[in-house]
Amino acid sequence: MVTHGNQTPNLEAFHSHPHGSTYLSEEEFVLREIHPSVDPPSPDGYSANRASSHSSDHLIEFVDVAKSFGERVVLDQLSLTASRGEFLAIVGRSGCGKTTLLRLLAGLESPTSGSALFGGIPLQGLNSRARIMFQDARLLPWLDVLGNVQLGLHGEAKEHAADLLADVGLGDRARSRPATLSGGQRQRVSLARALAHSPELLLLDEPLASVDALTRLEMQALIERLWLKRKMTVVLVTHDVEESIALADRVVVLDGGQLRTTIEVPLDRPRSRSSSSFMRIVDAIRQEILGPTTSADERSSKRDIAPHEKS
Amino acid sequence: MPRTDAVQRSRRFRRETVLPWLLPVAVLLVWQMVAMTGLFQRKTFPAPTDVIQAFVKLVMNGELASHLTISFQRASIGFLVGGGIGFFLGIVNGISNRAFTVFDTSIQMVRSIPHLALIPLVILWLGVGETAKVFLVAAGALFPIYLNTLHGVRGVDQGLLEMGRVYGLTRWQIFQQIVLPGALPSILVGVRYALGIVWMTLIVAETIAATSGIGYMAMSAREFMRTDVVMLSIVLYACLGKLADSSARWMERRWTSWSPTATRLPT
Repeated sequence: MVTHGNQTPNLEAFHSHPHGSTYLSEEEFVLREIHPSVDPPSPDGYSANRASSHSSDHLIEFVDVAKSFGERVVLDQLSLTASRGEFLAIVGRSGCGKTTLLRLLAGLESPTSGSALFGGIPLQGLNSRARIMFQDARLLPWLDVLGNVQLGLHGEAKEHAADLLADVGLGDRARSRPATLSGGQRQRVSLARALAHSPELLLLDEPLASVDALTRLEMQALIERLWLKRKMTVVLVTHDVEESIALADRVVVLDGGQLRTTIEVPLDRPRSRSSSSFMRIVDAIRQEILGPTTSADERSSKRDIAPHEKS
Repeated sequence: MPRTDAVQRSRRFRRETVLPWLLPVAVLLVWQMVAMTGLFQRKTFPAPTDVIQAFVKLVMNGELASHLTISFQRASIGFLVGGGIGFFLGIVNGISNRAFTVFDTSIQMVRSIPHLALIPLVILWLGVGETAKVFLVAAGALFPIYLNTLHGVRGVDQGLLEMGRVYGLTRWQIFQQIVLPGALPSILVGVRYALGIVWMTLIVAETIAATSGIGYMAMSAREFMRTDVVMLSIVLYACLGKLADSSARWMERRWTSWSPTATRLPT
């Protein structure tokens, strides 16, 4: 579990790599950082390292995962881990493969090659321990709000659905039809529905892309609050760099189906978006996303300003 | 009650209850006046009042009730059989691509035959008994329900289906909680079409080969030059058709109130 609140949110903090020791061994950290560069380490060395360091801490372990649809390669030799209870954000341009990565995690797609472990076991078929909150709320219009949250639940969990509605601030709308709700309220219902299943892994597929700016801020705070309360692992796919930094422990930048870099966010929660340290991370990630496909030299020079760089 | 509320209510009443009946009532009035001028013989052109008299007489001697009952039975049995088969085929072909490939071409071929063209064959094979009429009605109800059910099932939002899978619903639950309610607005459109065709088929079938029912009543009245009874039959068909349509609308309102297409029609 990542610790919060013990880092000073200044620039120096980036260079001290505050999270490394808590859930990544030094070796893993280095490997992960090297991997996206032009010359990856030998797969043998990598998996040997994985096998030896295998622990229940890692809910998600992707090694050299690739996914193609016909000729089109969507994910290319992607390696990625996430600890239990971690909040991971995946950012990148449209078509960088981030939604496909999410669908792999949900078990809606299976990798073309590589090893995709979830809780130490290869992902096969639907991942029953994960739930997705979709970009469009995907509520059933013929059920009321409570009915939607109770979808697929049995027994005790069904009875607790109403509490979850209260948690997302819609306790009084249990009997409303989705059509009568605003876009933000629908996404709240969708969040309550996902949480009602107590998933180990919550997958957020650009859930706030189509709500207005103020509602988005509110929803981000809500997601953070519920995550701190429930301690599940979250993978958030988003276009919104500020959103990723406001919420995530780590931000993964994807580019053309490859992992470009991973950036730690060592800021206190709740995070102030106006702080200079926040803005620095925003800039660093933007440059990673917007930068042209670069050679190894350029990439290493870019990473000088990346906050995770060891000093 | 505030005055404005009462005003609004009476306006609504005027708009929703009075307006739809304005035209039929006007037609009746004109009809009555033309008949009373004596321009035509009352025997060939009865006034609405004559039709009402015939109606009262047939109600009193019980003839009307027995004809109505038998027609209604034929209509409902035929509708249930044909609609049931159409619904089943529509669901199966909507869910399974393989079933669609195997059956749809055949169904479309059969559909393109006007079912009333089967009457000679049906009389040869099934005679003029109840089975023949029920068969014709069923053949008429089957295709609109098949087409609309198929269309409804195919049109269910793929995102909702995927959501159902991710949220751990079984195949049966997905069918019952997502596919069926999602297809229902379209299915009910099919029901409305089918009900219209059911009455039309029944009229033709009863007119051609029957010894009871509204259609038979009209045909036997023709032999005795009872134009008033013939007209009464026609009016009865109009009323029964309206009743069937209203019940279909009632189902739409009750079961698909969530759907934007169902609420678009003024009720």
